[in-house]
Amino acid sequence: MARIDTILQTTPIRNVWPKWNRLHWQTAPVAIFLFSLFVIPVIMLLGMSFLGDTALPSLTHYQRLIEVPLYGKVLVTTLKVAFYTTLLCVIGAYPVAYLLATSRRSTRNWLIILVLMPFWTSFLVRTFAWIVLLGRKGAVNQMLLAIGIIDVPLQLIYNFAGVMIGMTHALMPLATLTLLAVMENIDPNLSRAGATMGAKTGTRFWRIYFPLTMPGVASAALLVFITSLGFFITPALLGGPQDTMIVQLIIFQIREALNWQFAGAIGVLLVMTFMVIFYIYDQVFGLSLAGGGGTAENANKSSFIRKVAVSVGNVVIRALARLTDAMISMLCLIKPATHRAKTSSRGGLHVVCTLILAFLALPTLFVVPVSFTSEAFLTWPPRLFSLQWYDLVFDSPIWLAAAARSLVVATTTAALAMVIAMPCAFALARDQFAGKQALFGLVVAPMIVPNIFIAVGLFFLFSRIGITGTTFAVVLGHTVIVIPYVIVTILAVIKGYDRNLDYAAATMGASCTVTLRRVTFPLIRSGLIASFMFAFIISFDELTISLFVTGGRLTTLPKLMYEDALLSVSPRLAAVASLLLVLMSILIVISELTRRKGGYRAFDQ
Amino acid sequence: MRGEMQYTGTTIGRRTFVTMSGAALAAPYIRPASAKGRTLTIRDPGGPVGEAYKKAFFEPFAKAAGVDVVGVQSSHGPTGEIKAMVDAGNYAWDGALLDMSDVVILTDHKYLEKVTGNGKLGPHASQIPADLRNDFLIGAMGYSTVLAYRQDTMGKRPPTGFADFWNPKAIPGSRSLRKHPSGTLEPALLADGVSKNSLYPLDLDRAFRSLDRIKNDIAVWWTGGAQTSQMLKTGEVDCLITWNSRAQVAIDDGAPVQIVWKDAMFSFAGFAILRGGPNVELMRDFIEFSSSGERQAEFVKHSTSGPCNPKAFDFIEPKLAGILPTNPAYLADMFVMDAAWWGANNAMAQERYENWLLG
Repeated sequence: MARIDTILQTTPIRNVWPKWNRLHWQTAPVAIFLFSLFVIPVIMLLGMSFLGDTALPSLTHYQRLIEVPLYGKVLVTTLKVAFYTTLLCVIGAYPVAYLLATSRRSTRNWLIILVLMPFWTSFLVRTFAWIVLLGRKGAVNQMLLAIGIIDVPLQLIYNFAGVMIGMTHALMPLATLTLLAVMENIDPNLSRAGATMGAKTGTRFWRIYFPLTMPGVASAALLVFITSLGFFITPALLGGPQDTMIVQLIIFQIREALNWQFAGAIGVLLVMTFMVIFYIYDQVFGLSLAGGGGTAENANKSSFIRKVAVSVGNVVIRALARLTDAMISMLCLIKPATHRAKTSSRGGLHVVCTLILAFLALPTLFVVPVSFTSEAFLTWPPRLFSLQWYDLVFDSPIWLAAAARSLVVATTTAALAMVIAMPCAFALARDQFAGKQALFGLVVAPMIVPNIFIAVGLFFLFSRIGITGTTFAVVLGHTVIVIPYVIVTILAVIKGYDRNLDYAAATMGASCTVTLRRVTFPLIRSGLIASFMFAFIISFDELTISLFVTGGRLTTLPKLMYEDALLSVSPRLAAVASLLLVLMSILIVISELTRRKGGYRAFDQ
Repeated sequence: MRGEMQYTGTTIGRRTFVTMSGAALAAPYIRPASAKGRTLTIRDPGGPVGEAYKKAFFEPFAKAAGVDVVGVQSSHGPTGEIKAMVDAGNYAWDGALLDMSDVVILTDHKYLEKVTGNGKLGPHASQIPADLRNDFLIGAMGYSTVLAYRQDTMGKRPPTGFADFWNPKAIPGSRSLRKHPSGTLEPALLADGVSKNSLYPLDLDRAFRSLDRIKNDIAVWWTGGAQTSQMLKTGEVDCLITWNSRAQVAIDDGAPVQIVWKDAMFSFAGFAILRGGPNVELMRDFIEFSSSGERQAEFVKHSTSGPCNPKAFDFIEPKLAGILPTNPAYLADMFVMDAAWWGANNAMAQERYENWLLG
């Protein structure tokens, strides 16, 4: 049976790719790109934190970080929020991804629209939707009061639970797509083989399927954890007075107090903390080494922490397997027919997934009716019926131009990021080379460093080369921040990819390019699509970098939505969100229809 | 490279320019040849009143001076952007609409030019009261931080001032305060019995003791102004302290909300000039132009900020004047927030406030 460690590290295989490949030229574009557009500008900015007020080297800012208890406390809050968000996201996303991976492709595409719903509504719209749904006078409390379940409105938001609702909702799509990309490539025959050898349902899941999904779980958790470290508006709007995130303090220092040196010091604290966490995480899950590094010697060389983690993991998994089997046998005692137990477990999956999907879609589905309100606010129930907010959008050349620009920027960014990052992801996943860990650190770093530092650093760099205020500058800036998402997602897929398929193609005379085109790409296609979508969505929703590098000269859709939300929570936002939802659904349906006509059909089975 | 936004060419004389009065607008203006073809880029906060800046200031000035005026919107604390632009010598903006407290922080760091240059204030700018301007900023529009409440739930025993806000036992109702010390510490002191004439410098110890008394009665700590409009509209809380324009938005949409002008805290904003930019003189002309009562009155027609030039009320209908924070009838009950104190103490007060919220 599969052990975690043998699954996480693929079978050792001699490198049969041509020699030029070993030079790892394919990592060069990313390395050069990030070094010039990320490392240098950010280090110049963060380096200021080591200067005192007289511009001489000094540690006064770090002294303040330690002496004032606020920063330590807020860092702990930030980590706590990120940790619980990650936990909830992965637990919630796992069954949904499983359902998606085991559904027919047509069903899956419809479900994906539901999963992605939170993505298409700007994070501000979502947050305000939660406020209107869950507030003291919100839809949920109104309903519960009307039925008579409660006498006094429940406190559903403005506390830690509110933060969790908002953040889990925002990040669960990220976890789901990352998991799905890995689950789609798991051969269902492995579980069937287990069954023929007498493994019960629980054992088959926990000891065969679950370990195979570990690369996806590890990547999803990492992406969610890091992304949530950068959140601050959602916790501020839905949380209580204690739920302050560290990025908020950084932004205050940069934007209000103009103390960039101290902001840099907080930034360095955040990055250092994350590096410690990441080191431990990497030791446990082998994120950067798994794949190409998985030689037998390497497994022996693996660290003490990892060995402990692996043995603990095996014990836990065995226990879970026994427990699940026992529970299913109990169920069978109550309902004797075994096939019934099987269908009921699938039924249980459907119930759980329906609840989670409802949670994901709820604020969006609420936004659609609200967009037809005749009032000037997002309220529940909306006073229908008016098209005034749609008229406002369509009558405004600014909104239409901004939407067009955002689409162009997001598409270009996603394409550019894929082109330069994909080769690097392949190298990271498959090959062993000096400096691999450092390279992995470099490519995930833009996720860890708060966007505001990247934005300010790039402004200085772009000023020097004279490209501020251009769409090109925005694309470059966005590409920096989406590269990590692209690489981590592709990495998760390639690690679950059976390399023997490539060798089989090679033995039958396929060249490298033919193998890539006809075998590898079709098999990892869903992973590639997922990473393209992440890149697109992140760019489409990005605000800070666009604001800084253009000095506000170019108007993007998030900028208009942010201004609208900041200055008036008008239903125009709901109208824009509904339009985006319709547009994206149409795109998905069209791609579904065109695919059915031909092309890749053979691979869909 | 100093960027594509720099424009060479001689600057137009300020003196020649300010001779133009508001009335001259209607008459064809003889454009100074040197200003022709130049572009002035000015930051404004955008959003729903974004059009107001264009209509009241940018377009009329463009017409009068024969230059292009481009309004650029950045909604969020523009001081960081200004520091970056001046440090890099890359002037995406020539000037910016700023709050007085932003100006104090920026002048501390020498990021702004004096509005007066070497000469004296122009005739329009001189009409603006001395406490609504300084060397770096001439007040163009003012707003107040006020107490606002729902009449349907608190109408029977309405709060009449901050002392009532601080007394939830006597005046029941759910409350919300801003998650920021500015405009929160002052009410805390006023509620504790400090008179508005002796508020500054703020007694922080006393303010936080006062806040301690009410901390557990605060249902929501708000962060964005739009949030307060929303809460007043839906009745999420019964009373809160916010900017008058925010409460007005809810009132305009039919919410039963009342503003309490007593002890309202007045702040103001105006146009300031980025230091060392290519169009400093032209910006000075623009500021003098935008200081006229007529221009400020025009702005008020599209927003609910009050004009800083008292002459503007000559051009404003009485009905509109009734909701403006600079209405002389309300001004007597208000006080001007001390931007200098906030400029010097904002970071420290913020640190202590956040820490207080955690503990």
